Formats: sequence, structure tokens, C-alpha cells
Amino acid sequence: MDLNQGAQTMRTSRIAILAGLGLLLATGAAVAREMKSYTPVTQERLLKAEPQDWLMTRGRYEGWSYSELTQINTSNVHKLRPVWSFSTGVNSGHEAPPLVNDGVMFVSTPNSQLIALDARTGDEFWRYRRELPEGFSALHNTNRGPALWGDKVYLATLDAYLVALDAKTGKVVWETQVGDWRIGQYMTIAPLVVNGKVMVGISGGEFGVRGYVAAYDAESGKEVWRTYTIPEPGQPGSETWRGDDWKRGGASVWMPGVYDPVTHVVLFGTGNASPWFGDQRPGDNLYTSSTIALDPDTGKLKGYFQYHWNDSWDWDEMNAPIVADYQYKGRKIHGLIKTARNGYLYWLELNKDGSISFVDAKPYVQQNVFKSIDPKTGRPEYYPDRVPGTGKRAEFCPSLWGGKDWPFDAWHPGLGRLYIPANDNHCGSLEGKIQEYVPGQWWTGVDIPDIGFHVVKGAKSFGEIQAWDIATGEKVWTELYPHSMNWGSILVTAGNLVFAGGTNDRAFRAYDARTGEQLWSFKANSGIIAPPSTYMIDGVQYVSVVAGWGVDPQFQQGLLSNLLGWDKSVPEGGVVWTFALAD
Amino acid sequence: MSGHEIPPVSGRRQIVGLLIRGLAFWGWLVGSRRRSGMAAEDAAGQQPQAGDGLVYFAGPRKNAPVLRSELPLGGPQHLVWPVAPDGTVRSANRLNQLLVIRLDSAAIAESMRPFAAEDVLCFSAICTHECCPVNMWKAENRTLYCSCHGSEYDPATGATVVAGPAPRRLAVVPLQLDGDRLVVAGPPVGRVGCRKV
Ligand code: FES
Repeated sequence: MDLNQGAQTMRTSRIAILAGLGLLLATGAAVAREMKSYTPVTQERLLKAEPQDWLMTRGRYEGWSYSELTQINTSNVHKLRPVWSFSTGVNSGHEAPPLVNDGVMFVSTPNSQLIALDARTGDEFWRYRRELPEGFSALHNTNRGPALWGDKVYLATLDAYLVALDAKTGKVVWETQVGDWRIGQYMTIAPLVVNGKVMVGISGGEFGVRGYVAAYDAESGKEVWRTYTIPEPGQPGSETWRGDDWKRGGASVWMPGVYDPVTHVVLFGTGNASPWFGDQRPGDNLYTSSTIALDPDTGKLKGYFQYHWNDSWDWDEMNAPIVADYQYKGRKIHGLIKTARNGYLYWLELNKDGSISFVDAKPYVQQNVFKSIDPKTGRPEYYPDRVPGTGKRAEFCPSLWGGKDWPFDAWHPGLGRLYIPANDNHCGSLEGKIQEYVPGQWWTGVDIPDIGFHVVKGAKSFGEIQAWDIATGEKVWTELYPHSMNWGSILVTAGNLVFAGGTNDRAFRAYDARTGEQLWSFKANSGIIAPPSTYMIDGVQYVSVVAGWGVDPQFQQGLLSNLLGWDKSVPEGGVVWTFALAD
Repeated sequence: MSGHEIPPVSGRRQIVGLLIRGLAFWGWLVGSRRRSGMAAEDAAGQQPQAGDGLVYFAGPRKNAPVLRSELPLGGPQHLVWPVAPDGTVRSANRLNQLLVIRLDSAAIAESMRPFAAEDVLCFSAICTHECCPVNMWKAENRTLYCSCHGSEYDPATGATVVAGPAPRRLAVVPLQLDGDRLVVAGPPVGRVGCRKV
């Protein structure tokens, strides 16, 4: 994007917003009931991540998707019952966890809506509906959740605006243009807030964007810094690109970052390189399919780790890793755990200066692309016949959806275990062609009908939950789904429960985190692909999750219906479900 | 409203004329709704209308007039823009994006013939699901394919939905020929755009 042009558009749009504000106040969000009080979110509260709240997407800065609450536990979870539900009125894929701050719940939906609810009753306080521009469309219409700071709620919108809403009323306080949807930039990310800076990234890896992370002042909406995920000529890493390829090289940022208070870095994952075929952009292509570590104050790059160089499989590494102190083979590590889309599980060390060192990696699903991994650097070597190219078809496992797509894995610090929502026994095949770049148009080097997808012959299962002992590097249990993929983010609790949806049978389940035994399940209205959350109000622990099938799982289900005869139609419709123990 | 309604009269000219009159109100409705956005009141934002030419949206012939004889027989489709007689490309509103496809005339459904310029049909390129461009071709099914969620439309039967989540067919734009040049014969018939949420 031309930055000057962007700034111009931003100014104009601000004027338009001010002009439109009167109208908005008159016709906007119907206020169902008044929110009497709201507890501001401070840096201290975010750092503490007290278990009665669920203040950010993955529950805490370190991205654990873990709760210390134990009221609901392995001995009583069979008594879990729905206490209220709320229909969002929106179809398609709901991928945001309910955030809860002192009894107030925030749920974002596809097409950039945000709803504030009374977490006790499910009654609506307000709803924000983004009016998307005429003729607007986005490849993924979903949203991964809002962010909370002070007395405001922040939403990254599909048309690439960051919007700050008054948490009590839902009224727009400010909005700032982050990117330009007309050139394929859009946002589904949940913002990350550290010390009053709201950080977002841009989607568009299928449209030839150059990815970035940008930070905005939480009060004013002013851009504080912007760091591109692909260096420009002269910057370190630029030598991994040929000519002008970097300008449209991808590395979009579409999943929320995490923050490590110890080293004071934020970590974001980057998407596929673009176009999809490595021979069209020779070089390692830094920092595509990587984790990058940034200084949250300045945006300065402090470190990175690239999982696979010169990506040719559409394996985005968009999820930020989990930050944790752990033992690995007798060594104490302040490190990262990353379940990569490329089918490997990574142990990484996060050094004091923010740089990242490789420790170890192991495949957690069938992966037939890596011949070996350098034990020092973690750099893989590829089987050449597994690398698709322009005019060269190659088959590879896992398929482009990876061993794990965007759903969150979870870390139980007490048990030292990682829980992975995995998908195995599926493979892809790709052959590239040269596509003309047209701003805002699909630009991957392959048309979707030509993307090959198949399942491993004789496979008995597809979706999985895997539990890994991180200290020993061993898998300790696996739950297998014979008739479904798994698109369910995991929540793990100190009550030793693993909660997850993700299957096409609409089930929401609880497992014993130690053994993998299923202890409870509930059939929701629709398939669950949103992360669950848990919190406590007036001494009662609740678990909430949003059902609402759509986007990639739906598309993939269609393919599997053709291949395996699975039922194509999983019911759609967003509903927030909240559960508590029956008396 | 279901599909493209054809008045029961014969003669292509008459039909097209009737269609234009009969659907003027619909066209006005769609047009006024569409004009309400920031998409220019001017010609560049207005929907395709009778007398408009078509130009290529991309490719080596970008912005050049679309000629029937150069379209590949049997697909794939090409994305195009309508262009006003004064040369204004109506690209200010993305909902104006159209696609043209040349089919084996025998394959074109009877009901679609009045809209065709011989063997070429023109449809709105905006998917009725969530407004993505219908910019791909699924050769094995001979369908127009939407890149967002895989909706497939059969061009021969009027872009009816044969797969995927799209709730309705694509709007059709009546065409005629000026020599070899494709010319719009009337406003889109059917609803242009998608239903959000
Ligand atoms: S927008 Fe075309 S299938 Fe969804």
C-alpha cells in the first residue's frame, strides 16, 4: 500500500465518520439493556490473567489456552449443563472465543459484528455491526475475537479498519484504516494489546499482499509503528528475495500474537509466501512461514524462526507459539512450543535478547516432505519430488490445511502437557502456473478447482486430539475421530479437563487431560470451530463456546463428502452456549 | 423472485425490449440501492445498460473491447467491465463486474437463448453468496466457480447454482452483437450482489 495514499484515505474517512456519527447515534446499535458498570482492563490485569476472567483470545499473554479454575473437574464434569444460549443471528464460521471481563462477555462474529452480553444471563447489552463497503467481499469472512483495554473494546474489521468501541455502550470512539481491502488486504485477527498499544496484522496471502504488523495508540487510534514481515531491499533478510518479488511476497499476519513479559517481546506468526510456488520467488523468502519476535514499543524485529524456507505448500505458520518455561530432555528452557502447520512440533528457546534458537522438532502427523532437519538450525531439507512447482505437480502430506491449521493448541503447565487439535491422513497435490497479478484478485499460481486433495487409502481416522509430554517429547494419548476432521481449538483447565469441539457432528466434549478418557459431551446447534473459554462469576465457574460452522471446515467437509461420503451439510448458525454444573 | 423470468413472446428483439421495460423498475431499484454507496453517481459507477460495450478486466487485452470470435468455445469465462458509449469504464462499483462465456449453442438452455449473443452469455461476476468474484472455471463440471467457498454455477442453464452455498443464480445481462463486438442489450436481470450475514 502506498502509505501516503493510505494516510489520505484515513483522514477522509475520519471526516466521514465524524459526519456519520450523528446518524449512527440515532440509528445504530439498538441498546437492549444498559451496562451499569464496567471494570477497566489494565496492563496489570492482563499480566495477572486472573482465572475469573478470560480477557484475551488464548486466556493469557503466553497463549496457553489454560485456566486455573478447578470447580468443574474430572469428578463432576458429567453434571455440566447449558445454562443459557444466545443466537448471534449470523451464519458462517464463528472463530472467536467469548471474552469475559468481570461478568461482561464480548463475542465477535463473521462479517465484523461484535456483541456485548451479560455473561450471567446471555442478555444483550449492545451490538456493533460493521457496515461493509458496497461490493465488498473477503475470502474468509470470519473474526478471531476482539481485544480489551481500558474502557474500550477493539475490533479488526474485514474491510481493514481497527475500530475502538466504548465497552459500556458499543459506540464508536475512533476508527483507523489499517489496510486497503481493494488490494486484497483484510483483517480477521484478534488484536493484541500491550502497554496501551493495539497490535494487528493483515490477511491477504492469496492476493499478493506484503504482510505487516502495525501498532495503534489505544486512546487516539494513531499508528505508532508498522513492521513489514518481508524486508525491503537493503534490510537484513532482503537477500532471501529476488528482484521485486518481496513486494507481493505474502507473509500475512492473520492470527493473534502472544506476549512474553520476561523478554518483553511480542511474537506473531506469518503466513504462506506468495504466490504459492517457490520457483516463482527463488530464495528462502524471509520472514514467510515464520515466528517473528518484535519489540512492542517500537516494532523493531528482535528475532525470528522460519519453519520452512521457500514455502510451496501453502503452509502458513500464522499461529504464534506458546511461551512457557519447560524442561526438555533434562534442560530448563524459557522457550516456545509451536505446533506447526507443516506437520512438525517444535521446541524453541526464546533468548534474553528476543532471538529464537532451535531446540528440537518432531513430526506429529504423517509428513513426507522433509528429508531431514538440521539439528543445530532447524532448517529442513526437502525431498525434491515433494515440492510443487510451476508446471510440476507434486503430492505431499499433510495437505495445505496442515497437521494443524489455525485452531489453538493448549498448554497445561501443571501436567507439562501440550494438547494439539490435529488432522492426519490427508494429502494434497499442487501444480503451479503463472497468473497475472491484478490488485485484489486471487493470485496464488493455482485456481481452486485445480487444487488436489485426497485422503490416505485405508485410513481409519482423520481428526485427532494429541496429548504430548513436552519434557520427554513423547505423545501420551491420542483421541481419534474416524468420521471427522478436527477444527476445534482446545481449552485445558487445572481441573484436568480438556474441552474441545471441532468435529462435524456438532459435539462439544470434555476429556480427562491425564488419560484422554471422554467424560462428557453435548450436541450443539452447529459445528464448533471457535475456541472455548472459562471464567467465574459469583463463585460459579462457567464454560462458554460459540457454535457456528463455516469457512474452511465447511469447504473441506464438501471435499470429504465427495471422497468418503460424509454428510455435506453441517448445520450453520451462530449460537453462544454457556455451561455450568447442575446442582 | 425466482430466476430470470422470460415473457412469453417470440422474437429476440421484442423480448429484449420487453425485458428492458418490464425490468426497468427492478433495474431502478437495484441501481438506486447501488448508487447510495460511495460508488460514484457518475457513469463509472452506474450499472451496465443497453448500448454498453464490454472490455477485458485483465490479461493481455485488458481494457480492449471483447469480441465474440476470440472467446474460447466451451469456457473458461472471462471477467469484463461494461463500458459506456462515451468510453467510461464502469469500474467504480465492483458490483458491475461481469463475466462472459462462449458455449456450444446447442448446450444453451432454451430459456437463456434470448439473453445470448449467438453463443455468448454474460452474467454478473458477483457471487450471490458473499459477493466474491466468480473468477474460476471448473473444467470437469463445466461450471463457473467462486473462489471463496466453492459455489458452482452452470452457465448453460442461466448460472443456476449446482454446488456450494450460493443461495441463488447469478444475474444475467442480455447481450447482442454489433458485428463481432459484444454489446449490452439491457440492464441485469435478477439480483446483483449478495446477502451479507
Ligand atoms: S462468496 Fe462465492 S461461494 Fe461464498
